[in-house]
Amino acid sequence: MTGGIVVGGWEFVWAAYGLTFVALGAYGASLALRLRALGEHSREERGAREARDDGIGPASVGSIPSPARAERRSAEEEQ
Amino acid sequence: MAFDVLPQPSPRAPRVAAALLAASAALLAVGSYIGLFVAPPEHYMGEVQRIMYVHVPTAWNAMLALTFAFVSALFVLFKQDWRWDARLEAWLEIGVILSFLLCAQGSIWAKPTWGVWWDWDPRLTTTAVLCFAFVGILALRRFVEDPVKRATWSAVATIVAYVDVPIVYFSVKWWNSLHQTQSTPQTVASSMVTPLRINAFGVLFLMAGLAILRSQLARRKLAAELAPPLPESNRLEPTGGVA
Repeated sequence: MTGGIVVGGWEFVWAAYGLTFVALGAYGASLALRLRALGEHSREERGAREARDDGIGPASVGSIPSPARAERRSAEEEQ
Repeated sequence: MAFDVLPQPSPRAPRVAAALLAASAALLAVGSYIGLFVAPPEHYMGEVQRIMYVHVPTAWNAMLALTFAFVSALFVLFKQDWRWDARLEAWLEIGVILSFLLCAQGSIWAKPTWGVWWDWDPRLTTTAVLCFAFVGILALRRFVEDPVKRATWSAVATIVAYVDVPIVYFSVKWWNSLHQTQSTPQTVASSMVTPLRINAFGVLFLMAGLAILRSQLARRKLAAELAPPLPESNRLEPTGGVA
């Protein structure tokens, strides 16, 4: 500082901007990752619940989508 | 309704959040460019004053986020709806992040202008109290396992802690503070007001987009927590099969 006037200081400016955008970007990325992880988990849980409600065996859980499961059920009923 | 409807994620939320985040990226890019390269340096603080274009928008939006948390806390208590609890969690977390960023930016600005990184001045002290009070509420939410108690207790704690927000705002007027008092568009050059406003809206849209995503995350967690447990025979094994 010279005579009450701040000279230079760009490094402080870059530090403030860098910190702000890195922190907010990292938080946004962590949210996206957490949402994705929770979405995968709830899909697996939903598959297990649907299988329980449909009374289908363990082998199909989470691997057969609902329309296919419905077809399989109707085929089993016809037999 | 007393916490009796399971929270469901909104199907429109990711699209709304994406639009807000895209708008915020554009606004922050333009605002920061003008603030860094077009706006003139301030007479006494020189280039360091450019920190204002992120510091002040962060401050405004931190206070706004905590105000939304306060409103959500009131709704949690009076409506007893899980959606408001999810919103409370989202605004608390974002308010805390913005408040800590605010302190860090202020500290970076303080070093070249005041000569110190930190001073126990009324504005800085009340802001530090604010940060730690709301971190405490987030910690409380982690420790309480019962979802109803967690929602109620954290809502009450948020309302109590919010008392500090107007104290932070008025601290520079009530006490002799090293921190400057609030400026107005009449006391700031228009070339400096423009990037400040653009960045303020940029941070606002960013905060809103993040809050929507965080609230959806909280809703999903609550739905999983409140759903009746699967019987042992249907529970998933780590490999994806069924026991």
